[in-house]
Order: sequence, then C-alpha cells, then structure tokens
Amino acid sequence: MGKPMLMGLACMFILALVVVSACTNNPYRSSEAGRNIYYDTFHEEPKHLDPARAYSSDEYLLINQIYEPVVQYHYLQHPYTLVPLTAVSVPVPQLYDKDGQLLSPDDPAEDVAGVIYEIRLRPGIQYQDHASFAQAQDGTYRWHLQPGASFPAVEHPDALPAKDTRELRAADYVYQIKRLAHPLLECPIFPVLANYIEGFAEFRQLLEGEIAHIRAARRQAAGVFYNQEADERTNPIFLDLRQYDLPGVQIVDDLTFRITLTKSYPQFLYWLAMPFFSPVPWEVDRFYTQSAAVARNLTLDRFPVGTGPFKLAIYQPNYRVVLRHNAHFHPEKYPEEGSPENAARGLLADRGKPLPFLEEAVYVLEKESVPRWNKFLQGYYDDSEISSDVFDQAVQVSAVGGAELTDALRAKHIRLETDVAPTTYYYAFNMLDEVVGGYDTKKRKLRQALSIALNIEEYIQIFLNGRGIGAQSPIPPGIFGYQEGPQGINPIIYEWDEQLRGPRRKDLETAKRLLAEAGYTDGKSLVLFFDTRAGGPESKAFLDWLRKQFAAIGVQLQVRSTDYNQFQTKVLQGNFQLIQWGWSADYPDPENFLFLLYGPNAKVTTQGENAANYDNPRFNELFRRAENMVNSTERAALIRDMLAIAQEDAPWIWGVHPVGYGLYHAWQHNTKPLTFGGNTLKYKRIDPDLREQSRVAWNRPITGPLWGALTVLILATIPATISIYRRQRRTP
Amino acid sequence: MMTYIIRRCLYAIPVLFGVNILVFLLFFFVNSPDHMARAHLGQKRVTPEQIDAWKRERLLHLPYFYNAGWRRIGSLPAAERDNTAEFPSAGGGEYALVIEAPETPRASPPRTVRLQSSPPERLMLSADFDAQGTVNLSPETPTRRFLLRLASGASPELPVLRITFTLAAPAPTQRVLLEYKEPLSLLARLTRTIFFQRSVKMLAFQYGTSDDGKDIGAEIMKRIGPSLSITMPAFALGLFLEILLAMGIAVYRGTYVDYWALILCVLMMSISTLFYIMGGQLMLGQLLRLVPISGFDYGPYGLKFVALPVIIAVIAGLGGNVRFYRTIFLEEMQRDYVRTARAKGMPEWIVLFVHALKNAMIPILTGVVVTLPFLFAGSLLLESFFAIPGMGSFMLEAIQRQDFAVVQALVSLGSFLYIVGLLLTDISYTIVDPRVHLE
Repeated sequence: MGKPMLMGLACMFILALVVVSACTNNPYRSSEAGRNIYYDTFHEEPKHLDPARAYSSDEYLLINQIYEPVVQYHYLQHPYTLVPLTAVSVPVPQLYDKDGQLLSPDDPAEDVAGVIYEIRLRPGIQYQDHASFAQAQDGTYRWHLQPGASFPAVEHPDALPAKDTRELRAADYVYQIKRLAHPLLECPIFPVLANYIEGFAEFRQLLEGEIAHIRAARRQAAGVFYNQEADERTNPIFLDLRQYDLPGVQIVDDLTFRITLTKSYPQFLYWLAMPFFSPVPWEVDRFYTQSAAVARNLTLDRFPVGTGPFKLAIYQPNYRVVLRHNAHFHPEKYPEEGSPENAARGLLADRGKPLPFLEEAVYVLEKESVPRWNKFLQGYYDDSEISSDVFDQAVQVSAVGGAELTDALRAKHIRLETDVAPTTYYYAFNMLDEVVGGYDTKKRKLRQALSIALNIEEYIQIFLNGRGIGAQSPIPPGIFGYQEGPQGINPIIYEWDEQLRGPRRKDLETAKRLLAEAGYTDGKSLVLFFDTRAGGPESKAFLDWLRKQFAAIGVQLQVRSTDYNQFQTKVLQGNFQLIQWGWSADYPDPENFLFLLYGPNAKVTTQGENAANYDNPRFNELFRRAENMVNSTERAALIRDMLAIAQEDAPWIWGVHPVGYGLYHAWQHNTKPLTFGGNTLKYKRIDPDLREQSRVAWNRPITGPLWGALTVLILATIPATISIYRRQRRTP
Repeated sequence: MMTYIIRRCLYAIPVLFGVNILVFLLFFFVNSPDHMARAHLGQKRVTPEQIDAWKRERLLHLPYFYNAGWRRIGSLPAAERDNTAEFPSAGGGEYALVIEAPETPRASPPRTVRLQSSPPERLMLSADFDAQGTVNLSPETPTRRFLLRLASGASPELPVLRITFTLAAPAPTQRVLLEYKEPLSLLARLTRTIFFQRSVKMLAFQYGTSDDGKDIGAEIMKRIGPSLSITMPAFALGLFLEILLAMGIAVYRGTYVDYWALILCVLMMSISTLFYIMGGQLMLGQLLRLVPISGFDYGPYGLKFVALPVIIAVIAGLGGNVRFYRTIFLEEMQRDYVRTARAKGMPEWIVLFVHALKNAMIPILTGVVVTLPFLFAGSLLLESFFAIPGMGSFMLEAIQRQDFAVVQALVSLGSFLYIVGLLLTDISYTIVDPRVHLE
C-alpha cells in the first residue's frame, strides 16, 4: 500500500469524524431554535386561497387566520354560539312585510317580504401592509398599473418596494359580497345565496353583460387573431364592482352596511362567519387583476390580504407555507368565559390575555403519514391526529373501557384530547321501496328490527378503534337539539342502563319479535339489498361483518357494489334498499341535520339531500315551523317531537358520530381537536423553551453503531489488504 | 461527427411528434374533457355551467383537431316550464341554436323554441322556423342545431337575442346553447385546437399551465434543483463506489472475498428500494437520530436532508451494478495487455485503475450515459418519502391529483430526455473507443 493511499484514508477518516459530529435529525434551521413558532403540516397543496373560491379544509386552515368576517364562533362555549369579530355586535335580523312594516318574530313566516341585517363595524381595524394600498405623493396608486407595464421580478407582493396599510371599511365587505356573484370567479355557494340575497341573481347577469361588452370591444380591436382565453390570461378583465349597484347589499356609512334577504333565514348568520364573507378592498382586487401581477403569478388565489392576526409570509405550496404575525392586528383578548367542560380542561388559564400568542406558524407539506408521525414523536411537530396504523402505538383501552395513552407517549407528557365531530354517518332505507319503505305498522317494525340488529357499538369497536359514539338521532352532540341522558336516547333501539350510565342496545330477541310482527315468520324470510361503491380489501371485512349482523335475525344481506358514478345514479333514481351515507354540518344549527329528513328535499323528486326519500307530513309540518326559529325552549320541544316521529318511523339506522382524537405535546396550550370556525391559531400558545429542551433530550444522536460499523468494515478488509501486499511482494 | 449529430437530431423530431400524438390520443380519447372535468369538480352536484367553465379555463372546450370557429356565447338551463333569456350577440354573422340531448331518460323533452332579436329585422332564420320565429320540436329530438344569421347593421349597437323555450315539465339539466361562428384564419383554425395548444406546443417546450393554474415551465425549473441535489451526488458517488468495489472484487476472483461479495450483491439486489427507504428512515432518522426523517431546505441547509436519500439511492443500486461491473472487469483482466503490463513490473493498482479501467469503461458507459438525462427527472419514491419538492414528486402528485396537463408535459419532457440520452450514448462511444467511427 502506497503512501497516497494511507493519506487518503486518513483524510476520509477525519472527514467522517467532522460529518458525524455535525449530525442532527432536526429538520429546521438552527436560527429557528427556541423561537415562538408553531409547526404543523398540510396534506395537499391548497388550490384557492381567494375567499370567494376556497372551500376545502386545507385552504381554510390558512385563510381562517388571515381573513376576518364580521362574526366568529366563540372558542369555548358549548353549544357553538356566534360572537362579534369585526362587528360591534352580532347583527339581529329585522323582518319586514311587503308594506315595509317591521314585524316581530311571532308573526307568521308568510308575511315576511324582506329581512335586513344591519352590521356596524368597529373602528380602527387595519389591514396588513400590502403593496396594493401604496400611494404616491399625488394620490395615485403606486402599483395599480396599465396593461403592458410590469412589476420588478418578485415572487411575493411583500417584496415590492412600497407598501402601506389602511383602515377596514364597510365598503370592503360589500365589495366581497359582490365578488361572490362575479361570473369569472365561479363561487361555489352562489346558487345558495342567489336564493336569499335580494337582487343577487340579477346582479350576476348585469356583470355578465358587462363582461360580454368588454369582450366584444376587445374582439373588435384585435380583429381576426383575437384569442379570448390567451388574451384574458395575460390581460384579465377587471370590473370595478364599486360602480355596480347590488340592491341587497348597501353601504350605509363608512363603518355600516346592510344586507337584505328576500326571506327569513336565521342560519344566514352562520354563513356570515365563513370566509366567503371576508372583507376584500377594491385596491386589492385592482392590484391582483392586472397583467403585471398575473405575469409574476401574483394572484389573490395565492397571496391573501386580510385584517387577521396572521399574514401569509412565505408561500411555497410544494414545500412549506409560513404565516407571520400581522403587526397591525387589532387588539383582541382571549375569551373570559367558557363552558364547564372547557374550563375543566384548563382552557381558561389564559383568559383576558392579548392575542395572538404565536409569532409565526410554519406548515410543512407531509404526504406520507409515517414520517409525519415519527417527526411528531421526535417533537418536531406540535400536534398530530392518530391514523389507524399507529393507533396501537398511541392509545390503549384502559380498565374502565376508556381510551388512554400508552406509556411511551405518556413518558413524553403528550396529551390526548377528544371531541365529537358535528357529523353523522348513517344507513338510509329507501322509503319508496316496496319491501323496506312505507309508513304502515308492519314496515315500520321491519325497519326497527333491522335497526336493532345492526350493532353500531360493535362496529365502532372493531372498525373505528372505538372512536365514535352511537347516534340516537340525526343531531350530534354540540348542536342545539341534542339531549344527553335518558331523555336523549332512542327508545326504539335502546334502553337506559343505570349501571352503565348510558344506553344499552335492546337484545336480538326483541328484534326477532319485531321482525315476526312485520310478517316475516317461519317460511318467509327477507332478502335485503345493500348498495355500496366498490371498495378494497378493508371493505370486505366490513361487508362480512354487516352480513353477520343481519344473519343473526334470519335476514339475508345481498351486497351490490358498483363504481362510484353508477352508485350515485342508483341513489339519484331511488334504485336501492339500504345504503350507507353521511353528512357533515355546514353550520351548527339543527336545521342543517333535520333537513335531511324533510319530505320536499327528497333526492328522487328534487335531487335534494334527503337520500332516504323520507316524507312524513307531520314531520314536514313541524320542520317548517322549527327551521327558521331562534333557539328556544319552544324550538327544543318541536325538535323533540320531530325526533320522536323519525325514531318511530326509523327511515335511517342512526349510525355513528365520529370522535376526533388529537395528540398534543406538553408545550402546547389552549388546544381543542375539533372546532367550528377554524380561526383558532390565535388562541394557541407555545412554550418554546420547554420544546427546545424536550427536543434536545429526545433527539441525542447515537453515533456508536456508526463507528462500530466503520471499524468492522475496516477490519474486514485487513486480511484482503495483507494478501494484496503479499501478492505484490511475491517473487515469481 | 457533426453531420451524424445533426442527422440524429432530425430523426428525433418525427419520434417526438409520434410520441406526442400517441400520448394525445391516449389522454384525450380514453378520457374526454367532460370526464376530466367531472373527476376534478368532485362528487357534489356539478352543473353543466361549472363543467363548461372548467374546460374553458384549460382550453379543453376547443375542438380536438380542427376549429370551425363555433364559439359558445350563451347557455340557458331550462329549469321551468317556460324559460326566457336574453343574450348579447357578437354582432353580425352566423349563429347556431343548439338543443342539448336530455341527460337522464326521465327528463322532459323540449316542445317549442322561439327566437327573437332586437332589433328584430336583423335576424334571419332557416325554414324550420315560422314567421314568429317559433319552431316545434318532436318528442324524440336528439341534439339539434338550428342555424341562423344576424345581418350586420350600420349601428355599432350589438343586437340582443331572446330565446324562449317551453317544456312539458321542469327539467333543470336540459340546456339550450347559443353559438357564434367566429371568422378564423386557416392558421387560427388549426392552432386553436386542443391538439395544438396542449400537444404540439410541447415540442417547443411550452407546457402551458397545469390544471391548477400554475405555469408548468416555471414549476419545472423550480423543481429541477432539488431533484438534481439528490440524483447527481447519488450518481457520482454511486459510480465511484461501484467501480472501486467491482474492481476490488475482481482482483480477488476465486477467493472468499469474491464468493461472499457475490452473495451480498444478489441479496442487496433482491431487496426492494422501499425497504431501504423505510429501513433507512427508521435506523438513521429514528433510532440513531443522525438525520431528519424527511424534509428539504435550500442552499447549505439542505445537506442534512440530502444525505440519507443519497445513501439509500447508492445502496439500492449497488448490488446490481457491482455484479455487472465485476463481470466486465474480469473479462478485461484476462486480456493480453494486462499480462504484458504486469510482466513489465507495473504496480497492480496502476494496471487495474489506469489501463484496464479505461477499456472496461466502454460497456459501462453504454449503461451509464443513457441515465444521465434522467437525473433531471428525479426519483419518484425517494422524493415522495423524503418530502423533497422535486420532479419525481411533481409527477407523482400530478398523477394522484389527475392533473392531465402536468402528466402530459412530463411525459413529453421524458421522451425528449430519453432521446437526448441515446444520442449522448452514441457520442460518448466515439470518445471512449477510438475504433468506433460515426458517419
């Protein structure tokens, strides 16, 4: 072996020493250590951050912290209630009849010809600094350019040299509501709002006409080579919506505006809490709808501008998204009071303190669940949900049957928190079917028998790891109309068990008896068809289990599985007996669940959401009376009656309300796994020192095995080296 | 040599064109733009207007190969028994009224359609229409097209067309469309088609925008860097190690080293890359805590993220290549010139690494140079598991999201890279082997 070889080996050894000592498994830069930053993940790249278009959870995750509608959900109250955000108070609807006379809530609903919501804003709320507000000395807007001009080469509007802020005005909310009707934006809730806001549909037609005129003018100017799509891609059409009047939304003064609906709709307040009703200033629209901005890929879809506690600082959707504290955020305090359960969880510890607590929030794109879970355990993500393949690592069933953490996680002081989702998964009978549908006693008993036989509790244990509660009615906990305790159970299927302090399912004998009373005695057995979309191997286990449930009372279940499109057609045409279906609340009002059983919403006749095609005139009557009521004892009584009717008729097998499980590290405070609203980042508080200590303690690199492996490798080559040496020296 | 290169480049053009056409047919005839729109817009009730808007944004509303100029300027869903709508026209010219076929068999067939314009004298209808501008439709009407004309007038005011449409029962999915025939030049008729906009342009590396509205070209440029930061070191380090090891094993032919090394190579070849990835993440990221489990960063901060993927890429390819190179080296070492060099008294390592290696490179190069362009394409698996925002994860995400524009662009780019790779292989052959001449 020559000298150079030895020297080379020595160099490599020293290099290895240096490299190994610098090893760390911390994915963040050392400059971020110990800072007040919250780390979380997102699963898929968000498509639209424009509040007129965003409608998915990954998108709401971000824009809920940036945009501020007039009202928000109270973080700690149960059931969910609305409180003011930028408004001075929660707007109260004023009902008017066709002569303009003010009505009271007791007057019949048919008299109502218009409903007015007058919203007054708090003064002094500022937007984040943004280039669209920047003005030159003479008052012209620095970055509102003409077609053909261009911006400097920037990747983010905040990189432009001039920025400014301004105060929030009522006109901004009005401008955004007009944008919801913009034909070029295709807002997903436009069809719903067109039913309620006065003049909304006509306003859209007005805008369509304007756009057609502009396009015709451009076509004439460009001549034969006019290419509409290419032209509008580089030179978008900008409509200054301030010039077009929408009768249903009027500005009263600088801080007040009025929305007029054509009929009474108390749930409209919940829509007002959604990002669709955020403020968007005309300057921002003008800034983003110009060729200079489009050329640099700066659009409202990617770079939101809001008054909220955070602003979007870095947007690299295939890698990471960073929200930073908005320096101009108006003073807001942590809620002073909350429900007893939330107080018991310690969520009132920070009452009265100024918000937000965090300086920055970093969202990293993690598609695979395994690396995500492992980095959470290492302390690099502050919270996590629990996917089913790691469920056993995280949660074990305690002696009393509840869920608690495994020792490994408790050693790290991780918290488990659970909350019931405002969601219901159910099985719908087709009430139009001749075998299982119908309202006479025999058919009712048949459906009740089948409902008792399907053991939902067993389903939850086996397939959901216990993460759910059996549904007693369509309404999940947390929504007005849900009742705890013995009065809230479904008396057809359950009995109250004092020892369990909960509902106990009636036994199979009862089910068999009901089945016999329905006409299925010996000699006549029932074949039931279950329609489903084709699934993978997991669904096979579920279908086997389902068959077993009904076989226990002598009913044969036949599964008909097809692809998703065919399944949807079958449901649309009423071509099924039993399907599994689900619904997640748009807003926390019982109407959003009970409307699934309202006769005129039947899927077959009007393509509504009533998949079971349930149509009980008594239920319909009660629903019409209760749907637009404000929450009160009277409304609760009506809902109780409705539920009793539905439970007796049993058009659904009331299924599961899933329970969300969230894991949180000890350094994270003020957390709740599932909340309506979603603008909850401002309540989170992190203890960066505790986090840094924990991370260092949990992630000390172990270099021993590496040195061991290296040594073994070198030793293994020694006999070989010696033999080369000998061979070289060998004289032939 | 230059003539050879030029000739190869010219041959490449029809190949690329052919690949383009094939991919186009595969994508657009198996999966029509309507299907794509429905797949993207989700399961909630999708209105025909939403489908139209989706297609329009992505230029998928254009005809496949030839554009006669028909452009839709209005659509009226027939939700009520009597429906009326007014559409601003685009001036004088040819128009068509299209009655779409009903979507479900239960939907009500159309009964009558009435067309008027204001000012009324400018409208010229075909003989199907009576004097009031009404036409009756038979119940079994499939999609019908009625042609009409608007005379060009002296005034610049655009006439407005009013369509009244009656049904036997409300049918929300029954639509009536108004189309305008735009006068287009021959060039426009051929270029304003899906084939030109979404396929031919790719030959010029203009990939357009993805189905999400991002510029594909800019995205590719951003993602090449992260991909290269893994594939280049993996390539260089891998090649270096493989040659070294193969040479070393070749020296020990017949001994225990050779035997056990062969077993090890076959073992390593048989283990799937996915196992290496998960094993590597488990061992080095989780148990030993030496490197982050996944993630990425730019600049010098990225070193710790790149270390593990590079090591895994090297190890995954080690087994097969070492075995192959060993065979090549063994063959070389039996040649006469090696014996001569040894006889002349040269040290063993010079004989091997200077003389034998140069000649052994010829077969090695054929395998290696063709993979060079694919360094830009990144590794799907590695980038996905290590959350590297490179080209591989770009392709994988596009497939998962059914983003056809991106998949088409990457396939086109891939075919180009492959052709470049083959050309480079041939050229490198001449450089390494003086016996080879290209004409």
